[in-house]
Amino acid sequence: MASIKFEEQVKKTLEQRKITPSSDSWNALAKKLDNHEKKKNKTAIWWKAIAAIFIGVLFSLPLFFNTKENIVKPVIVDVNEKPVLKSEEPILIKNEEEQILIALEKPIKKEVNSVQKSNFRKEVDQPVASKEIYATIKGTDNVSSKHTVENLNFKIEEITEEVAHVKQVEVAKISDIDTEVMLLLEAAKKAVAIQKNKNNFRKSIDADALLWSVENNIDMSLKDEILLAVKSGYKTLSVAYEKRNK
Amino acid sequence: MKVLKLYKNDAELIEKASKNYRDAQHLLYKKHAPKMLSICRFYIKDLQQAEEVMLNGFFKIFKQLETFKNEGSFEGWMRRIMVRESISYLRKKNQFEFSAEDMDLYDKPIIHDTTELDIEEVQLLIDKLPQGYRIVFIMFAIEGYKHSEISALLEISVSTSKSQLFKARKLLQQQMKQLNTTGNGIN
Repeated sequence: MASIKFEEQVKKTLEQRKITPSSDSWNALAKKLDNHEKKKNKTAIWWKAIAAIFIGVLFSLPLFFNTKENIVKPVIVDVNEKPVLKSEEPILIKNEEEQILIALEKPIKKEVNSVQKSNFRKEVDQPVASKEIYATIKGTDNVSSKHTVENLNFKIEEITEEVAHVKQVEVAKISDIDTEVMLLLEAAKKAVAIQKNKNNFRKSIDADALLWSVENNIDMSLKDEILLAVKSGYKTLSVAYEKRNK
Repeated sequence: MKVLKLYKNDAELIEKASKNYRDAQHLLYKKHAPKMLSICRFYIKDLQQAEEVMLNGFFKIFKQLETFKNEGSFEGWMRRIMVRESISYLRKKNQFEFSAEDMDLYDKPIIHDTTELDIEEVQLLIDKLPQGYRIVFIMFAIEGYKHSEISALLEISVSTSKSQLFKARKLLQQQMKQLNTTGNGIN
């Protein structure tokens, strides 16, 4: 009990005690706090700068990449195979005539295309010729104007003749093609008719026709041979008799 | 009404100090520094060192003032910080020793009445105690810490804390006896 009383007494006396700190103590503390504040601000500024740089980079990245995309890379797209033209698709053909007609159409188209191409080439060649003329005109400035006019006329005539000749050739070619087509068509029709007959023959078997075809191959009997000799003798006799009467 | 107004003023002062208003911090310091220095002085014999520890304690208080919520006593919060600061200071200075002298634990110390002792004499008696005894005695008898709390703060066992307190009391009894006899002799 006495010890507890002593402790309580000590506590009371010590609680009442107050020691005034030195006069400079607050200044020292204020200085310490100021330094800490400055450090804190510095670190805050650093963090803000880092954040600003990060945000800047974040915003500039897409711009940078966009410009690159615009300049450089064309996008490669995988495309499926070309859709097959309907005309080239395989068609189920019922009749042989149609089959032949379709078979004939292809070369005709090719030929027509070749003719058109050749025409086009000629047409292209023509301006080249006129260019040559223009060049000759330019080149012969020193020669007399009459001489040049004559030359030009001669050349123009030559060109027109050539063009006419080409046109004739083209027309002849086209007519030749038409006749060829007609011939081919006829041949095809014939072939189809033969084929039809054959098919018909195969489909329906005629007994008489069969017999007839077989009988030709069988050797003749004696009776038939005598009859045939009598017939031929009778024919010769009748012919001789008629000749004598005349 | 007066108490409420005072509390309100204190709360405002704390709020301003937490926002780094130097005037408010100075006012808080002026108000609490003498008491806090006295607390530091319990643990540290040298007054200059005690003041240094107190300043460090105030620096931490102002730094962490935002974390203080006006739920408990502000002075109590400050006291705890000062005690911890004093203990860590002693630990750093390697003045943190708990003597293991054998004492008869069953021999209860009888301390005579101290009504005649003044504050300086009490402080002198406490200062004479070894470091370990003194810290445990102040924490237990004056600050009101429990043995479990003392053991946790000082990183010692509860039994060590108890034995240190007992030894402190015993030593104080001897010192009181000595003081009384010398006092009587003088008188």
